[in-house]
Amino acid sequence: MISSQRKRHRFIWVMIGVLLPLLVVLAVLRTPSFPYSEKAEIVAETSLPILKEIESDLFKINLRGTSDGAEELELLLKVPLKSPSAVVFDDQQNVLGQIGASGVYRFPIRPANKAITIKDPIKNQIITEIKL
Amino acid sequence: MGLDYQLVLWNKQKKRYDLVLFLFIVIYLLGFAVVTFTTNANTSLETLIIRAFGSLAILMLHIILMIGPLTRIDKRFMPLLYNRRHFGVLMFLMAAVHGVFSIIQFHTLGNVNPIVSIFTSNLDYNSLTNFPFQVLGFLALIILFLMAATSHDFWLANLSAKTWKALHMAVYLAYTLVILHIFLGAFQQETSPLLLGLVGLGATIIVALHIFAGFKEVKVDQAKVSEEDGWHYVCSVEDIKENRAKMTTCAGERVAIFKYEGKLSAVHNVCRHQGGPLGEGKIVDGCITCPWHGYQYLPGNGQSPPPFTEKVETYNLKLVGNKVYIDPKAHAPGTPVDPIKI
Repeated sequence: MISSQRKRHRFIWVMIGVLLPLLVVLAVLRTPSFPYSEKAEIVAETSLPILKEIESDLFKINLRGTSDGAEELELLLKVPLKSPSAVVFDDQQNVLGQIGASGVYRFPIRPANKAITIKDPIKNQIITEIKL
Repeated sequence: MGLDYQLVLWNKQKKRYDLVLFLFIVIYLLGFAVVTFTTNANTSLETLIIRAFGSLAILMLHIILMIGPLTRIDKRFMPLLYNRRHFGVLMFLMAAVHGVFSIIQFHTLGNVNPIVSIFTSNLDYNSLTNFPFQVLGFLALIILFLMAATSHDFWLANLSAKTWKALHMAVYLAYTLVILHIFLGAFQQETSPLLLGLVGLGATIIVALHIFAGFKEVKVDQAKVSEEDGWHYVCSVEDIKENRAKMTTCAGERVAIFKYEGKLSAVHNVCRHQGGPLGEGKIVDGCITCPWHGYQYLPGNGQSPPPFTEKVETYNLKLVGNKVYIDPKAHAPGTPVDPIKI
């Protein structure tokens, strides 16, 4: 490299060295606290009886549980969503889990839960809200 | 060097370099698929492709950005630099697969043009948490595309070395955009400390290597030289090996002083092709030969032998006893200067 290029390289990397860690630290500090793997453990198998059924063109939802209330949300996605990146939230905006391809998804829920919201986190849009 | 433009001037080293790259890519993608399906059998193929190719492109970009400063710190890394252009083009292809599949999956099912959708589907530009991180990735992909598309010598010759180099230095901007794309995007949902730590470590190493290599060269540039009547003392004749060069700094520029056939000649150290260090090359068939891509110059006038047209600056030398002195004022590129006889 010629002298001016070496100087430009040094300047660029010193700037990156200052700005990049700053932005990364800010991004990490502001990361929303919804660790999917801990809170939103998908229930693979179920033997709980169905308490309530809700059906639309896109979904069939079965609320499964015991006499004490619903414990599981069984979501049958009939066709792929137009927003394939979709996250299911309960009525207190806790993450239940992520849905993608058509198929059956089961999530543990609180018995008092009254609704679910499906959001596209990439577009930051609500896809649908369903009252249970 | 070649008279005509060819897609690739293949040789044994390039074939070996590309074979290693190809095997690395295949092994990585297969390994990623096996680990993914082992740990999460429900992963869809689209998601697997987006993640595998995206992470591979990031890994390759880190390696590519390490090569430059590593060769400036230790010459043993020089073979990695030799075919870095192929590495870069392959990295772009991996990033393009990631980008195209992401656009198809996330932006083609609506009624808005997919490219418009990238910029308008999320307008939360004031938020750090919900920042439309895909825009950052898309801009980085455009930069990488421009670099890959202009990586051939045809563009180097037609854009001019200065413009070409400026365009290709945009990789640093692309890298910054990619890191922010990861931290403001994937890492807002994927909070594995291992992944976060790995990318953070990679970025730290890249930045540290570049800053270290940059400031190491400041020492060389600012090294004090003893001066006699405007001539800078360089070294004694014995310090220069036959058909090799000794490098010095004149007015902030590196100069290579070659010893060959009982003579000494000095030329500017930077090859006109891609800025390779001529002083780290050697005399082959009477010509200074760049260690990067084999571009050649005649030591007596800094000109590439006909029919080639590249030229580098030349310098006057003088010999007092066995001490070599250089006049720091450069002659115009290609100016003949009589070699001094030892």
